[in-house]
Amino acid sequence: MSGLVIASVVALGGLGVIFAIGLALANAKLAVHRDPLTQEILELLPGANCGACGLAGCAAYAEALAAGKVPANLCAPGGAELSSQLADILGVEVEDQEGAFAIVHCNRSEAKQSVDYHGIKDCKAALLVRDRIYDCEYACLGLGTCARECPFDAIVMSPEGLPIIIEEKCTACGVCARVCPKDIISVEKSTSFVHIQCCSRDKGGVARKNCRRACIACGRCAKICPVDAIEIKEFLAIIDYEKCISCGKCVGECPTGAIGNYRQMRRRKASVA
Amino acid sequence: MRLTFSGGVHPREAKDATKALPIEAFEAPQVLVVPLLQHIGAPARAAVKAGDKVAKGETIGEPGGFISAAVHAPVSGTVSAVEPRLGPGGRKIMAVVIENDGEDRWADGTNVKRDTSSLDADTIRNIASDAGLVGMGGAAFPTHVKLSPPDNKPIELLLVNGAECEPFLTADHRLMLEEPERIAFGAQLAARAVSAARIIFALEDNKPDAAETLEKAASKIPSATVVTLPTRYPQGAEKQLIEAVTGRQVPSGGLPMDVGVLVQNVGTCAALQDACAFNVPLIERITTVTGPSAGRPANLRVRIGTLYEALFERVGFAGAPRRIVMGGPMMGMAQGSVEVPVTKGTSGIVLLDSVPGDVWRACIRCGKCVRACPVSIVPSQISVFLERGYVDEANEIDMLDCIECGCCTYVCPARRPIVNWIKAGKAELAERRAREREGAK
Amino acid sequence: MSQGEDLSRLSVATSPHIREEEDISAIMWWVVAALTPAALFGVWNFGWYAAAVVVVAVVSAAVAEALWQRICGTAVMISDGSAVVTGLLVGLVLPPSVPLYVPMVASGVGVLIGKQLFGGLGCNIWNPALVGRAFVQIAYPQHVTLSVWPVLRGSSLSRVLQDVRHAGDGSAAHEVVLGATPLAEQAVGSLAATDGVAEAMYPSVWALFLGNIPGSIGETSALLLLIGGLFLIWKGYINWKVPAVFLGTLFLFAAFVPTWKIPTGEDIVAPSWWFFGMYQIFAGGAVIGAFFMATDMVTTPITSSGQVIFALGCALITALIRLVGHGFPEGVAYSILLMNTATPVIDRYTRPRTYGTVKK
Repeated sequence: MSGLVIASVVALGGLGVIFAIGLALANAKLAVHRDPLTQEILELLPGANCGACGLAGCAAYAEALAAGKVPANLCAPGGAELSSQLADILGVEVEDQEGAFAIVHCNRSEAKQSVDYHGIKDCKAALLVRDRIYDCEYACLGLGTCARECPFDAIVMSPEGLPIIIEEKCTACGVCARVCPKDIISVEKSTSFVHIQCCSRDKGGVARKNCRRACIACGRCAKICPVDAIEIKEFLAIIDYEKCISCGKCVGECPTGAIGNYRQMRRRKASVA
Repeated sequence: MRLTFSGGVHPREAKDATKALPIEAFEAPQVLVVPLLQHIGAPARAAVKAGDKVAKGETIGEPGGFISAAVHAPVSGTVSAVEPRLGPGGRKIMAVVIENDGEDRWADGTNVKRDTSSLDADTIRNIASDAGLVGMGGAAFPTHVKLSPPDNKPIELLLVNGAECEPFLTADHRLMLEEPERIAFGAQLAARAVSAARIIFALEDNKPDAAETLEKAASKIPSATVVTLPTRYPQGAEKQLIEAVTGRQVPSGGLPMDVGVLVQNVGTCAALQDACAFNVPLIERITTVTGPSAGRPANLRVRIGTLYEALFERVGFAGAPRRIVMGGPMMGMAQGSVEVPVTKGTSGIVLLDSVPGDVWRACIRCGKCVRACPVSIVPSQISVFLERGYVDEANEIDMLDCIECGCCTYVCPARRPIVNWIKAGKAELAERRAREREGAK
Repeated sequence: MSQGEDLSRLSVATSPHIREEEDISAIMWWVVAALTPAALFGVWNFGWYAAAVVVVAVVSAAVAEALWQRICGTAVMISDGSAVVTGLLVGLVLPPSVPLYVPMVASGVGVLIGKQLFGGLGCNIWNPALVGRAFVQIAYPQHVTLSVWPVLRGSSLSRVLQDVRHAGDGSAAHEVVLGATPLAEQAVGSLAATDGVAEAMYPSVWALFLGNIPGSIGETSALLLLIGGLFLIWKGYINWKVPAVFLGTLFLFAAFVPTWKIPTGEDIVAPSWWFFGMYQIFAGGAVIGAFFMATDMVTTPITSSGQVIFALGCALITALIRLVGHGFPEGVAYSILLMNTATPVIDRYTRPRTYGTVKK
């Protein structure tokens, strides 16, 4: 009996030692040699591989940074804090990076569904069957592809099937804007508080018929804007964020409530927190 | 030897409602919407503008390239608009809207008898192209392209497809029964265009009456035979029909011409005979309007561009339809609206009173889809990959060979939307490849 | 619309727009139906206590599944019958003499660890019923290993025959179990008769086939299992090649064991190769395993060729455990569990040739 025990211990222990040596050798032999600067940068980056910097993931951005090919303020998830850290390491100056959030340009909360879609819950897949689920052909399909693809879990779908951006989590990486097949999400600076919550390019009457909250291209917002930041293009009000001072005058003027004031919303949230 | 293909399913045929009903002419409605893209390939270019007067059979859309097809006015009247309208694909496509003047005045040179005995291959191809012929079984691939095989791919056999394997549909059945001469005549012209030595008319054994009439018509052609195949879906899919009749398999990614075969639907053959013998372009087709929610199902000869709602006024409802399908229930397209026009590929309109549920479960690996798959892929594994977004892995196990016939999804006891995933997966893969090409530039 | 039908919210989806009626629960309940004759025979053969074992196994499986799904907040899927199949199989592969906590533990472990921990039906690697069975075999060997296990082992055949004779002398469990019905008494008689009458030493092949022999509750009647199995083959749920290859290979393997070399004594006669082969098939769990467990959809290969490889592997491992090994008298459960593990690999290498491609 004791012979068996000893034999087992020796055999298994021996195997363990042999494998450990093998692993150690492999680690030394097959190690990926990274430039120490790249490594240091990579450790600072968030590691979400969201692609907001325009490169294929964090490792690619780290290499490009170390090679001095790209500016240090491209990482949206890392924000201003990260870019100043990177600037210190690299010994360069960076322009201040402003915070930004994803903004949903659709608010079809009372819109009528024109069909019942059955099938896999993916906006792109639904578009293979039909170009719309609601009467409005520009409306959010509500199947949550953006929420699923968001690398930071910053999007939840409302009961009406509209994406809600959780701004505490949003890093403005832009993945949602990229994956949305209806192009209703964009990334805007956090200093912009006023946003058009519609992207219907239907004529006013049609848009109104399809959705009570649609922009009907009446132009009242453009008229009241003190800095001429709003223009009606293809039956849709467009804000020029370079000019916009976020005064919010247009918000009250809009007859359908298609313009949202995010200042109040963000303030309310801040006071709750 | 039993002529058959591997895999397949046998859904309830449901053809009884219409298979004994003669084809009825459906009067052209007041307004017709004729899409400029009714085929696979480039859309046709509008040849008319709002306000133009058009005659029946006049070209209103010129082919937009080689793989494209002309479009003709199905009635005489006035063009009221050329604008995007909802098509059967669920999205807006450019269409010519014509107000019918009710006169049915033919355009000059159309609807006149022509001697076909002297027509050579090139002429037949040109006639097919000018007449806007496309495959009428549903896929709507331009016929003149199929009639133009390259010199290194000789066609030995013309296979005339009368399988009509989709449940509910009887349009081809009635055509074979009532007008077999048109089919036989058109088949001879198609065979001449590609110098095919043999013609085989293939249909399923659930249409013995049509087999008889076709047999009679084919007996006048020395090189033609009729084969009757055991009824099974998707017999009428090009590659499966070739396998069933000849035992040959079209190479993956290849075309029937790679194995020396040309497949033409019976409806296309009939339309080819109209175009060659009478210079009549493709402006009408036979379509079966049926289904549990159809009040008085019928086989109708309908002008292209007739809106579904006009047909429904004639056919009526038996209860509210839950889903309206263009084509058969296995591969047809669900319509979100009744303001959709009949196109060259509308083999039927099926009104279903119930729809499959929307809840599915994990794959239990029962293997029914593997046995049902006519192209011998493993749909279950592909669906498991695609459910999790692994498009490349699905591609490695031949996702692109899927013909989207729907057999796997039809039999799946876990109710998994396999074809749904595969369609989305193919689209995703195409998008990625396009992005990569973009990146390479 | 003239008829006034509401067409404003039609349903859209990708094709196909129709489905075959048969769903998962239909398949599962038919499997339950196919197992019922063998289960009823087990109750008749071994008595009402056997019925209690089976019922406890089924109820525990269902309760375990329902509790788990309730806790996880997913839909409770008891009505699909999959937990019932697992529980029923657990009950049928346990000896009729086990204390009632054994089927409870076996079903619980089978459903929770064998299935739900992997994600539920369809995601499990091993046959849940066999996971439960293997667990209790190791946890409660004294209850689960039959004192009268009716499988003859080749390498130590004479010893087994002595075991059989010893069992015939009447151990407690044996009498409780086998004394319950006339059929069982007859089985005891044939096994226990050792008065130098060679024919009486072994049960007849006929008795083995009909099932009046000792064994686990549901595994003894080859005839009724065969009827259930043929029904499932006819329904298209299982591939006939699996039981054919499994049992055929097992028979061949056993038939080639040199039984004539077994030392014979005054009251021990070596069995013929024919009898020994049939014995390996019909005594023990080979028939229930081949028809109902090596054909489990979730845990076995998906293609026909893969299933044949699977069945072959099961038969070889069973034969090795039974005839060459010394540790266990029965090897069907472990052979299937081991081959379950190999299923993904078998699947990978037995993918069918796609239409229009050349086999790589």
